[in-house]
Amino acid sequence: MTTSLLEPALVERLAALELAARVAAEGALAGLHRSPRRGSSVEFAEHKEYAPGDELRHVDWKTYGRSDRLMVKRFEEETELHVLVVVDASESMRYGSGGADKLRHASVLAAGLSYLLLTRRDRAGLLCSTGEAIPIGARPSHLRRILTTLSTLESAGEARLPALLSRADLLTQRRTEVVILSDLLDGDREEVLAAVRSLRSRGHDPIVVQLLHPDERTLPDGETAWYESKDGDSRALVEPAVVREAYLAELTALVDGYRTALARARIPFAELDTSRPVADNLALLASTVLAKGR
Amino acid sequence: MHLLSPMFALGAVLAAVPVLIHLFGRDRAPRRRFPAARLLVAAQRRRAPRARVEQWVLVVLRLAAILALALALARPIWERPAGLPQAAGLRQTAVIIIDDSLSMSRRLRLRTLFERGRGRARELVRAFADGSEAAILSTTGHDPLPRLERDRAALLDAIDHAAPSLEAGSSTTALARAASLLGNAGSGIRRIYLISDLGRHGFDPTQPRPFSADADIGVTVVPVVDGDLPNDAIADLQLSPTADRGTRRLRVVAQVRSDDWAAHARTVTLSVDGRPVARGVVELERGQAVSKHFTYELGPDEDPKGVELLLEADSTDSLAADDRRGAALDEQAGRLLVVDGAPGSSRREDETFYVETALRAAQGGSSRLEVIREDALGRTELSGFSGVFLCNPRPSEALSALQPFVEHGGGLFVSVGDNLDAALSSQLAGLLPSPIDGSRELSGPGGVPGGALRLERPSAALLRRLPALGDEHAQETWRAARTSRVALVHPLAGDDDTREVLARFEDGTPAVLERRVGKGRVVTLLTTVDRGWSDLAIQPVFPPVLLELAAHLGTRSGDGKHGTVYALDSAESDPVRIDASKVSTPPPTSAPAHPPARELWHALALSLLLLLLAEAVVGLRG
Repeated sequence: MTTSLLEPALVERLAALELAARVAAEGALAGLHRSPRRGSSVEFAEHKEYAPGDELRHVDWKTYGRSDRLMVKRFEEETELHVLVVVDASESMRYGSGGADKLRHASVLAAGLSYLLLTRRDRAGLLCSTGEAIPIGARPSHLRRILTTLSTLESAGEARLPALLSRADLLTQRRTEVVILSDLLDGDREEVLAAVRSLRSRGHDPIVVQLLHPDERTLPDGETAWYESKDGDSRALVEPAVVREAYLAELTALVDGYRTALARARIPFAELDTSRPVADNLALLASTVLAKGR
Repeated sequence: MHLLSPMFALGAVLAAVPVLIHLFGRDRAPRRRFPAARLLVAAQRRRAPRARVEQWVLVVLRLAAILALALALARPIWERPAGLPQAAGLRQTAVIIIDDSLSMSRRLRLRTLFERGRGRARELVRAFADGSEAAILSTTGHDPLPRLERDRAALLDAIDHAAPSLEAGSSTTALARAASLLGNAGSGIRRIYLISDLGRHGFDPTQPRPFSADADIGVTVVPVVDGDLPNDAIADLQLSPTADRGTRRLRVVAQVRSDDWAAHARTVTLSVDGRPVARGVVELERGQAVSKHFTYELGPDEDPKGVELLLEADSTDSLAADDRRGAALDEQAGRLLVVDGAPGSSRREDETFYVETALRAAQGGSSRLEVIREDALGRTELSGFSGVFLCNPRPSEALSALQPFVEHGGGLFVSVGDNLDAALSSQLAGLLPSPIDGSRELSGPGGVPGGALRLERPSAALLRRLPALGDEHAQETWRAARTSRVALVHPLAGDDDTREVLARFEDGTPAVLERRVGKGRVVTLLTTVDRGWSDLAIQPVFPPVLLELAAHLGTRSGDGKHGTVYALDSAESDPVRIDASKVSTPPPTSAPAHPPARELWHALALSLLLLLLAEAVVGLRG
């Protein structure tokens, strides 16, 4: 069951991703990612004037001999990346078919990203709006737990992102990249934005990814019908051709609202179309995550 | 209007299809789960006002288009209004007689019979074929248009200005006048249309159609009421003995007749000099007259002039005007002298013709009225009269007798005319409210034909003296009078409370003045009482106003009595009607079996095209 999310072609694509290239992440263990902290490592970074307290073993005696100045070698410390993937599994995410199903798409993205991280000795965790939570970890068995959880994930209820994001601290002790996979169609935008900014203020690096189905992006033609939300709260008798222009204006206002507010807070925001190949979207997501981790 | 292919009209039912589709389609529309439904709701709300208007416009246009199509296929035919006589659509010379007698003031639901009759007259005029000519007569002699006229607008205007009268009418006389008018009209179809309630009182029983000799003139009766209307009336009033015969006890007997459908009770009130003094209830049954006796003890100093009986208001009573009846108490109180200052070569040309006619009609034909020429004034004992009507007087020595008459309590009414000059004003200086200084043509503001002026709405001072003007219809006819010339008077002194302007024209020019002189009073009308300068005399309100004026003139200054005298012709309350067949004759043989009609499908087809065009425009804009 777990393998159904990671088809061989996808695994192969994931392997091709270079997650290690010049990344800097904050973590306790040395990894493949470049860390802003300087420490013990084999890769020289730069010289620094000796100061009391510096370890004598790092003094570059050759430089002293040439310049008569006491310089200390500094090395780049490679650390692991902590990533918590938050998956919105609300009712609104159950839309579309096949790979375009938003929840399925989000699950594959979460699985792929976790696989990528864990196979590179980074750490990953999972938090779902339906309550499932896997703390950040790095063991080989951790990937199996994540994949199992994602494979059995069923949509239910509302996203309640503000409450969900407040649980992120419980799953990690360190600075963590929190990747939020959601359609952002539930709840109040300002409350969601406040929760995301709160993550930042608590020392984490949130990344917001909005997943939208092509139908949601274009409102295709169709007969007049009652369009209703999954929970039945919103209901309208709609002739798509008549209302499309106004609908797209509403959607643009919603997305632009998120984009503008998050950009102002220097929080990455990405819109993913679930009709695109999931591997392409994963590549985009991974590059965003890794770029953020540098 | 009727349909040549009525089955196609069933197609109009199709108009319900869009509505039904809309109503049932809403619930039967498929349901789609859509995560962004919240945004759709917001989008709908944002474009809702404009979209809703567009949708309703489209629905209305589509419904109208379907209806127009169905009606066009059904081939509607327009005909003249139902109920009009067949001959109405022909080219003809016609006289329309509108019965304007008192009985036509009976009310059927919201409209009086007269108003219904006026409506039928309009329909007739509109139905006449082009080239027709017609005259409009009335049964009381106040003819709206007593000459043949081809102009349809003029005919309709005359009908619009016709007003009901409180007088008795004679359909027999009106038919004779109409026949006379048509007798000089040459050949062709000549027809009289009698619009009437066919009350028996309006016809000479021996000669309902008085011109059978002229077989070419047809008569068509246009009825205004099918059945009887409920009505109670005070049919008679008897006084005995009167106060001036030595008793202080006054006995009044009222005859109350009912033509209501059911037995019921009415309250009768006896008023003496306008003051209610007794009430009683009469039990009434249909077709019966019931006597009600009142006895009233006069006070030691009481010297009443008139009594009045009044039935309590009842909304089911179709005619309120005959619910009251008054009478003078003594010989002098009701006696009036009419002095003609400008006698004509015939009675109709006399200055006093309208005054005499109105007073006699309103007094029920009593002999308490005497008419003399001005030169006989010096030989007449004025003390036997309560009021003198001095119409268009000339300067003469005989006028000097009026001064002591008024000072001892007599009432004087003066109307002016062509005899007006400075000598007259000088002779009557002790009586006139203000010196008269010539006359002038009135040129009123736009809207009044001929530049004449209307009287302004009756003032409170006038209403106190003439309560008959309190009725809204009476005010309407009072203001309908048109005056083209008026005598000019000097302004009244503000501190003289014995002189008063009672009525003015719309431009503020005084019309009626009053002056108290000794125990009597003088009322001056600054225009004529014949049709020389004004048509006030032919207004329906003229008779009751004149009678109330007579009662007012007989009221001596300071005693505050206001006798009210109404004596309408009780025959007008008679509900019995004659058979229309006794009056009418068959329509001319040349009358078409099917009157002229017009197909309307062309107009509907054009409407359909315009509706479809509008629908396309609105649809594209949406």
